[in-house]
Amino acid sequence: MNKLSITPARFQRTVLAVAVGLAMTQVARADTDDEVEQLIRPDSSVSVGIGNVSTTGQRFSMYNGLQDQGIVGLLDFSYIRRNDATGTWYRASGRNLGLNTRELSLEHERQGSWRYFLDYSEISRVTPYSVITGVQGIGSAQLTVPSSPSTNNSQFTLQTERQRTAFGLSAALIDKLQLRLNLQNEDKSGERMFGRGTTGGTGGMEFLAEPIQHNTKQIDLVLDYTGEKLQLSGGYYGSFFKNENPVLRVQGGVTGFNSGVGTVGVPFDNIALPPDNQAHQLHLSGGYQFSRTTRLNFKVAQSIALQNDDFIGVRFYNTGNNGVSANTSGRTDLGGRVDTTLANVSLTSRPITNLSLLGNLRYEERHDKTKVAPYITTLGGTGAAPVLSNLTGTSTTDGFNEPRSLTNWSGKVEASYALPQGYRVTGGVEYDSKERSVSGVRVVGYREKVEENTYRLELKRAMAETLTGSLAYLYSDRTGSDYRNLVTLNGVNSYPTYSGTLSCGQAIPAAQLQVSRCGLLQPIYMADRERQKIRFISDWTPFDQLSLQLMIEGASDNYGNGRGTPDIGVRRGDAKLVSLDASYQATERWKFNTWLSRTESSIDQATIASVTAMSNAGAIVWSSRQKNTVDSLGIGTRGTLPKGIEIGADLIYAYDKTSYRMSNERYAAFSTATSPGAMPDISYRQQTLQLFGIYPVDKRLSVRLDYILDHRNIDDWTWSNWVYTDGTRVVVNPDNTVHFVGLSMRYTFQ
Amino acid sequence: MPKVIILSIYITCMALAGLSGSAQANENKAQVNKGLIFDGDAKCTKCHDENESNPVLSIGKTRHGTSADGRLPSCAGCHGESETHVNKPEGRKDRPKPTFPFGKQTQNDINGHNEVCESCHKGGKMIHWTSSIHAARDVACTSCHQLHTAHDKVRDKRTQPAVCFTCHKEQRVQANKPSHHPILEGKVVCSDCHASHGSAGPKLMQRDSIADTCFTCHMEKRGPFVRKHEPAEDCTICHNPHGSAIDNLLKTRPPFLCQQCHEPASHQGGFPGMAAGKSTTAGQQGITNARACLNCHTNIHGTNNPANQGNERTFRR
Repeated sequence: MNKLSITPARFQRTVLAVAVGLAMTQVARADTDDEVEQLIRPDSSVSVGIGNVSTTGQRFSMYNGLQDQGIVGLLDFSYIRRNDATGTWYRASGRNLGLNTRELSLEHERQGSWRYFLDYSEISRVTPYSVITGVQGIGSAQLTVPSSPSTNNSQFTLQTERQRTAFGLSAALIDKLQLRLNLQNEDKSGERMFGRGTTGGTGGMEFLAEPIQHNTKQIDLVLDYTGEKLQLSGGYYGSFFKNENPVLRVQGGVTGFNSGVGTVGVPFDNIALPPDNQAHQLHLSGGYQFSRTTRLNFKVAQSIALQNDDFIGVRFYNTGNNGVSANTSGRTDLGGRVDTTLANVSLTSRPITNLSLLGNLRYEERHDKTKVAPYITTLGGTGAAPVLSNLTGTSTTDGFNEPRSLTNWSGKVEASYALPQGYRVTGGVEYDSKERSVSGVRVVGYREKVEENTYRLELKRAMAETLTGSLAYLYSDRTGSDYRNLVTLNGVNSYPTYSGTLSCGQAIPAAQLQVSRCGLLQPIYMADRERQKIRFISDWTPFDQLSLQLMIEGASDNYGNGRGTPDIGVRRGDAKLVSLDASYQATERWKFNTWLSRTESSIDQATIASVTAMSNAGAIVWSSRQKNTVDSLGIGTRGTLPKGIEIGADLIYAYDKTSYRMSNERYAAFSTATSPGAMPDISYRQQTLQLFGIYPVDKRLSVRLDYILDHRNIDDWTWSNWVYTDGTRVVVNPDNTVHFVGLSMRYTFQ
Repeated sequence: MPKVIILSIYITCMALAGLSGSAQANENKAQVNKGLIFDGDAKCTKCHDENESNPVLSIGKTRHGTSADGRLPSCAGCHGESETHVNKPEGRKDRPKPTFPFGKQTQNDINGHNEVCESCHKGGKMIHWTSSIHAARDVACTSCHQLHTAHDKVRDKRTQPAVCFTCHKEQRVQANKPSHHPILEGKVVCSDCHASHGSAGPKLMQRDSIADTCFTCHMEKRGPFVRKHEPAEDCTICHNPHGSAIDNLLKTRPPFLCQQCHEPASHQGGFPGMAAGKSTTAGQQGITNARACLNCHTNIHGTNNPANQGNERTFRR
């Protein structure tokens, strides 16, 4: 028996053909001369044309589907028809149908009663580099890496494509009840940059490409109740991920990656790729309107995330024990499970005309119930299976996987009061706490609880109908519980040079680093931090045709001293923004707008370059300041020439520069033998000019001409002079100019 | 196969719509002749049409101008009866504004104007509106939405970002950075991640947390894994979703990024440099160029490899 099957590509072409066909058959019916009816009846249109891309633009074409040099088809349509007697809509639309960024939507609706739709869309992402490599099998889950730099290289452009299909349905059931269903299926395919590196054997860093063949499904089923005072919305949300490539198998490579059979080595030949997983959630949201001015909102939800994908098969190379699985957990899958509970409640009120109040309390608990098993063991002797008990005391793991649970409480109280003379003052206090589960054996700084209090004050004034301004200030202070000791399996401080018995926080004798036994460094996301932000905004309309907006922002994060001497870790972060927007309606036919922004952000941090001993003499303390500055400008105009010719122009200019300043910190008694050198700035410049003109041939038919000039200039050392151990090189075009010209005809009808 | 069934259903419906279209044309004329759009709108449309400073008739092309929907208000339903606007009091030089004029005058009574919209839009996705930051900061519905036009910019993916950038200037700069989501390309836009009308998540996230929102497109990062990278609890600890000068939307370039958390116990504290060498030694290309730390620590979000050799717990495979 023949089986009917339809591929995504064939499906897409079929839908496209049917939709365009339906749209075109309606063209002949667009015959009304009733002027009013034309003004109130939905418009439809079909646009057909061609375009030409002058050359491949690595950045220009990252997402827009214009990555290939040459001719492209331009096809868009929008078909909208409404039955005014019944309120029934028929909509079909397509965009970019000639490109691999196409979108297609079909929709049928009886307004207020039911609606269903079918959407299809593609997103193409092109990695803005060319890869010249001798690695074989790119795109597949079986790669072969040359054992030495290859002369037989090929050039690749890595890219991914997403094809998403969505079906939705909503229907009014009995009074005040509505059902909503959304189904979404997405296939993602392609390949992305990957790699592997080791110091084992001869060591090195090799280029790999991760094969991507993912499928994601999401189901959203919601039942809404909308009453006058009470509204409820509850349902089920399910999400499912499937990876067709659970493992990347790699052959070849230099010694150290793939030690031969009979040699104890590092078997980097089987690399685990993301496992299948799924999550299910039941949720209920609601709102109750106590009075015209007081309302309560809430949401409660319970989720279960599961990951039970079979473990990949792994081999362990050991004399006399060839092919024995190194999975010593006794499990065939992780048994991963995370239960998440959410409760959120908000109350808003205006007890008196001039006063608005807002209160919010939120609780979220992610309880990681993943099965705990020994995954890290060491050899039990020649020919014997690995055993957990052979982990040495200096091991920085206890061998078990570490479930991570998180409990987050947050709350907010805010009041806003309208004062005389157009002033409004708003003040608020926020609280946020996070508690995390902590593993006993650790090498990264950790604390169980982090708390942050935030205070904000804003003064806003409407000085006239044409001028408003606001000034806002925010201060927050984050701290937390004591840091946990960084200890090895035997409970000893994981820093190697001092073996005394001091406890966390106590100073170590001067001959050693003044390292608290809990570690040196505060991880940035849980570090003590004092944050301040200030923002000024002003909107001014000096006269009807001109409007101006000025925004100035400043922010600073001060992380204070580190946890010992020397002071390392993140120290300070700063950010600034100045932005001016202007819009000018010169005449009824001409409008101009422009914006100009400058942003600066910087971060100061320090660490110690020492791979051997943490003694004072061996430690090189160095600090860095990374600063990113962006100047950007946008200018646009829209105008109408005689004979109804519409023209428009948009210019985008952006200059993005990041500097990396590094310096040796000359703490007394610390080594200065080796200093970090200067790193060049990295800069990126974009100039994009877009022009269009629309010539109306008649009332329904118009011709459109588009032109884009896109220039990107990149000065970046990320890939320069870099050659992977296997000989792979990644090439960046530092100076890229693309011209695009498009010509299309548009027919509108009703 | 389900796609074929869905497509067949849709084509049938569309075909029926086409067949019924001609018959409906006459009915349509009869309908609109009662009033331009709604019964009783004549007192407004006798002055307001499409050819003056406040063109109004295009609302007829929209859902709000679908006369068959009995739930919809007429002009006065949104703008108020506006008695003094319709019948200018004697002695007044200027005609008083309608009760709810919208436009620039919305600023004078944002709550009042928004209540007009909230009187209908209060259930479903609007439930959390009053507790959203947009409501708390007095953002008027009409600051973002245009009703008297067939094309509401904020509801179109291609034009939505420009509407949001009116206030969110920093994000406008970031969206133009070399590493970015396809925001300006209209493929992944603000409303794909943010529920501007309110949500129970932080930062108006569409889902209940930042990570859960990111997982809707990046579900391969969800795990849980045998070994999980701790900061993956919140993607924005390492990534700036609005755009970055560094590949993969990273906030800071490795190794600097990694050194913000990792103790300098062995090679982690090495400073970047251009000296030849593909090892973990400070000053060498191995921790500087290409993907820096990620040259070795490839599976950085987490690995599900159950093997016990090769430092899998440091995400090396």
